[in-house]
Amino acid sequence: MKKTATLHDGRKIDYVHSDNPPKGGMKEVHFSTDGKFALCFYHDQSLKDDNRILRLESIIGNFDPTKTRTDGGASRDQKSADYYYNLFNWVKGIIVAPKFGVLTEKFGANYFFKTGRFKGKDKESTWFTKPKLRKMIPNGEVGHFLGFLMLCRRMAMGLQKMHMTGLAHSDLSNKNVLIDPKNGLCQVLDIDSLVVPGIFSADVVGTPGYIAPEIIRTTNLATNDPKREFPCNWTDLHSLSVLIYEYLLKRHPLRGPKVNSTASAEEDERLSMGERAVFIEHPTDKSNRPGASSRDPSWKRELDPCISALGPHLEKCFLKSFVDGLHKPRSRPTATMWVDALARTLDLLVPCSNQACEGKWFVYLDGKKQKCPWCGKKPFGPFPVVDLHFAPRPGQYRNEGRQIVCHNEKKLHEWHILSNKRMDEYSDTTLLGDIQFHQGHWLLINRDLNSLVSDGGNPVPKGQATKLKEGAEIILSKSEKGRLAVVKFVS
Amino acid sequence: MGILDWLKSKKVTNTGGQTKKVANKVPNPGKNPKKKSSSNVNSYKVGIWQGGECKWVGPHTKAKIQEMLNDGDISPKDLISFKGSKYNDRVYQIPGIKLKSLKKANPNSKSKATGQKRTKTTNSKTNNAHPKAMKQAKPQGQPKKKMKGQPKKKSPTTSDSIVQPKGAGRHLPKASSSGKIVDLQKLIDKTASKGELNLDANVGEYQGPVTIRRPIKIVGKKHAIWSKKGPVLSVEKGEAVLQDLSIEITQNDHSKLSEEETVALDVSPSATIKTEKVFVRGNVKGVIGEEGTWDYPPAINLGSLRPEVSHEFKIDLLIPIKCKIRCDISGLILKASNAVGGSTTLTVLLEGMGTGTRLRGKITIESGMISRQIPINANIADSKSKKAIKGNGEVIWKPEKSTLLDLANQIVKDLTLKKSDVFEFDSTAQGDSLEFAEFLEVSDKGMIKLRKLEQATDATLRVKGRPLSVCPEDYEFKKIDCLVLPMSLAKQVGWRDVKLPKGPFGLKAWNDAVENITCDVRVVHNKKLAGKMKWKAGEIIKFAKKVDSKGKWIPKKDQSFAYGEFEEFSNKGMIKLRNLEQDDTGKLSKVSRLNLFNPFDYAWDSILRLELPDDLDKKGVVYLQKAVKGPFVLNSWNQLMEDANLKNNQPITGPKKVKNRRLNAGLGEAFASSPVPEESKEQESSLKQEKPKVDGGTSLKVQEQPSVPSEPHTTEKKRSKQSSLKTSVFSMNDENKSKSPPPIKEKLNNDKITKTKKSKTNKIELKGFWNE
Repeated sequence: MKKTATLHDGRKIDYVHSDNPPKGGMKEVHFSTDGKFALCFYHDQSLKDDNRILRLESIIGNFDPTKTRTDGGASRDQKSADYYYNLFNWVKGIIVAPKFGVLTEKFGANYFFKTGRFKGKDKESTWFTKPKLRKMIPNGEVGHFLGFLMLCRRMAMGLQKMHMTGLAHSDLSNKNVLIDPKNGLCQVLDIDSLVVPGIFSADVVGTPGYIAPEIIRTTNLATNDPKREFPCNWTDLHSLSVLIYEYLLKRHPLRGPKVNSTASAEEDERLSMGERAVFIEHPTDKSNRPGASSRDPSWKRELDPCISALGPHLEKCFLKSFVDGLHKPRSRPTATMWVDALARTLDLLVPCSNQACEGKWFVYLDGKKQKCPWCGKKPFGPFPVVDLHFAPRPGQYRNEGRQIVCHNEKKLHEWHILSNKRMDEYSDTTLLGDIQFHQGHWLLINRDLNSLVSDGGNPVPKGQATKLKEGAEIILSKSEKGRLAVVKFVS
Repeated sequence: MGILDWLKSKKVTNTGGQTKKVANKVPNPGKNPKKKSSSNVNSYKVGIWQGGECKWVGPHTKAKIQEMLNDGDISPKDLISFKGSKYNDRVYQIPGIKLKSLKKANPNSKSKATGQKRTKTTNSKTNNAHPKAMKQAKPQGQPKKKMKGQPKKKSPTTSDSIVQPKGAGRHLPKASSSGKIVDLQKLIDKTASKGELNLDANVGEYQGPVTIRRPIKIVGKKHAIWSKKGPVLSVEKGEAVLQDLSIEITQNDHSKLSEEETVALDVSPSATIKTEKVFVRGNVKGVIGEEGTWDYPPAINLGSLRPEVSHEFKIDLLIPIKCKIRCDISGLILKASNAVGGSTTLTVLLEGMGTGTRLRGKITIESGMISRQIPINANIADSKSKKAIKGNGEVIWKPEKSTLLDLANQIVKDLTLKKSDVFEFDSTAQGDSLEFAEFLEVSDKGMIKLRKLEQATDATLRVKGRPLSVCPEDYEFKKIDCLVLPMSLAKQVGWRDVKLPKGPFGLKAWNDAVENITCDVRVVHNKKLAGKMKWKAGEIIKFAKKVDSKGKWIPKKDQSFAYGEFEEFSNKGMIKLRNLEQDDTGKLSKVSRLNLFNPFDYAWDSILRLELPDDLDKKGVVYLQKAVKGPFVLNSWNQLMEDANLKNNQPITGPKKVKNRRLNAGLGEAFASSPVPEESKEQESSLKQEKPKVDGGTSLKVQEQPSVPSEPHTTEKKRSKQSSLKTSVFSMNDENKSKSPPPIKEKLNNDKITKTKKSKTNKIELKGFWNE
């Protein structure tokens, strides 16, 4: 049934009113007649108050990163605005009639299953993270490890932007993040309930499993109790860590064999996710670790792979989040740290030699025998790994503990070449160089580097390549922040 | 289970309807092929190792593969893979694939994807960098392809791993837009005179040698022109402007090249160049201020160094010209011992650095127009590393030819020289003639210290001056294994006649050896001279000194003549004679006895004509009736002169006055009335100065001789006598017949004479005289 809705600013929009619309915990969704917008009406119309409208106006206004500052948004430039436009499903308007609600854009087609049992349904994270559900996903859409890593980085980027703007999502969960692992994309939903610490408090405490332990621990306290914890930036960081862990390892980081209460399942859940939460891969406290020693037969299976298979950068972040920071919010890794760790791990990926491997990619582990953690297959043969060195002073290069695994068609961008560049929304994505395995040789091809210098000290002009040999030292750029790459072969 | 196995095991209907019998389908990679199989061939999921690519593509369905095959994106011989496939399964083996397309895409046809002509697929073992990958990939799919247009030989600059992956597949860039090797010479030749040639930024480097034959400008855009050996770039004509260009000889070991081949930039004398940011690896020829031999390391690797301590290293360089030397590494200081040119010791000072630091940079040597670069690197090791070293001023590189010190020591060693040994050296730099020296020692800077010697006319050697240090590179040293005689002596004696003892000699041994042989030489050859001259006692002879006291040849025009009465040849071959003086009447009188110890230093002649003193000639008081031929003996000459005086009571003008100042000066300059030219004065003074030197420096042999001056006409005594006699002499040299106008006084006299000259006889006699 076609209906017309009125927005807060007076605009009108036609939509198709469905009798059985998709529903969430707080809203039901109808789509505009042109199919471009989603009209989300709150179940509880009492939520329509001045404070909420003011919050929504702020969200649509100066907090909106999908618009540039000149347009009244929060982004520095159009490039940044476009980046976050694809990352967030930001609120586009406030609906005041026929019901109170918010107007958002419809998700991209890539966030809906095209085939299989779930055809037409949106790609919630749960489909991909639960092993049983995952098996039901068509092969073409199940994605691979690289895709998950990329979408994790994008998600972390989104949260980083929110936190930098002074916002907190408050309900980051598997339901509120749509993912496209095939293309490494994700979209963050439910922007309407953003928290501005000290100004706009949270509507909800979150989604079970993603709520920070300190919130669960203090739920029994009164809302005005100073010890009561509410969703904020730090709780977002817990949710982010859980989500990343789930995406990459397909399991929950806190759900293990440990039984904290036999009184009731709810109590056990409250304690396990709250005050007695223990990371299942805790290096010293093995009480929650699944394995042969577990009494419950469903937890007899050993953890494989572990966080160590994700590389040193992610392992460090996970330990910081689930060991150091699980009960100490301030010790949790920030979104920026996650972005950095994920970006570095992306450079450590090795393509699996097994065509049928589920993960398709795995992380290179320095100093260890390389083996795919998903299928157990060894890589094809020796492949080059580049140790990056930065130059704190001209001519002096020091190892920055960052590596690039070279695989065929590995692309190099400015954040690989220059030590002062990060992979972010402002990055120049021009292809500067790439690695090719050609006729038995590994080559670094100069696509657009101005001052690539080969191991022998000769400049490598654009369009030419230099061989990657054991011990070769290649200056990627002679500019002040240019890096030195030292090549080693591993197998 | 390979695809052929399925062909045998099952027959499935092709969905395309083209073939009736089709093999079992390719199993889904996610499923076990043994357990399940679909009846639809199109559902096969097959990965393809596409030729020219380095990865698996797919998985694709059969229909997709057929489509790709038709489009030429894949070749029928491309390898395929699926779960359970065998090595060497190929596209054309997939059931239902049209064979027509196989013919269409034969291995020699052009691939649409790569744009390259496929020649042959081989499984040669080239994957040495990736052995396991090859083991897997070789049979499966990456057939090695030899691409057309791909250079057979890797360019020398690629030896350190720069490669031109031209034609390597669609993922790899091409050398140029055309994909061909660019002929720089053609580009240069096409460039108009005074035109500008901008090198293609996509090419990067150009192979030489190339020649510029007209004034053009080349903008290199930091690209290189290279050749294995020089000259890489020759400029033949006009002014060439080179900008942002690198000119390189890629053969690092220059000792394998000839001198000509080490020249990277050769500018002919008819050409000039202007440079801007031009780097050269090799020598430069024809550029003012840039020539000379360069020897510097192609790269410097300081190795693994200890952390947190300072280091010092030394590098010996051969830099022919004044240069600026700098380094772009922070914390590395260069100190050049001699940046002016020549052999330079470069001190590399490195401050203490932390573990794991890698130093990478370049030492740039900048001369006026051209720069040279030396890559330098070092690694700061872990403090526990045993291999790490500390630089304590070690010389880490020196020219292969050696440093000056090595060179000098090598010379000394080769010549087996000891202190006070005599050797000869030829200044190759200045083109001087051979010189002799007494060896002293090699200095700690590699200079050869020696004492220069001079050789007297009797071939004896004596110390000439203070010790001097010579750069061994500028001289060619030879040990003396034979005696070297003064040129004047050697010329007339002939080297072959001298018995040559073998060297090397010490100074004393040399002189002893000379003494032993000089007598023989003189006796033998003076007797030869005597026999040739056939002089008799009392005959008047004319002689001129040909060699000065230094043994240098005196040009004929500068030789001064004198007259003597021959007495005899001594038993040692010396010519004994009496010096004669001519008075104003032309009469000759004996002055002193001369004993000329070396007759070969003199030009000898018997007197063929009469000669009058100059001043007499000026006054015109002497007139000779007729020319008289010699040789004369003293008495007959004087008699003749007396007869002439008696006959001519009245003075008669002589022939036109010709001055021969040089001759006069040589004869004693006794002419008060005639001005002595400056040259003669100088010569006289030099003779005066040199005389004691000659006397003092004579060898034992000389000292044995009576103290007869080598140039008798320069002695004080002689000169005073000559001046008192005021004799005049007519010069008989051809040049004395020049027609210079007489001075005013003479002119007056001549006018008078002209009046008196009216008589026929006078005219005839004069004519006859000059005709002679």
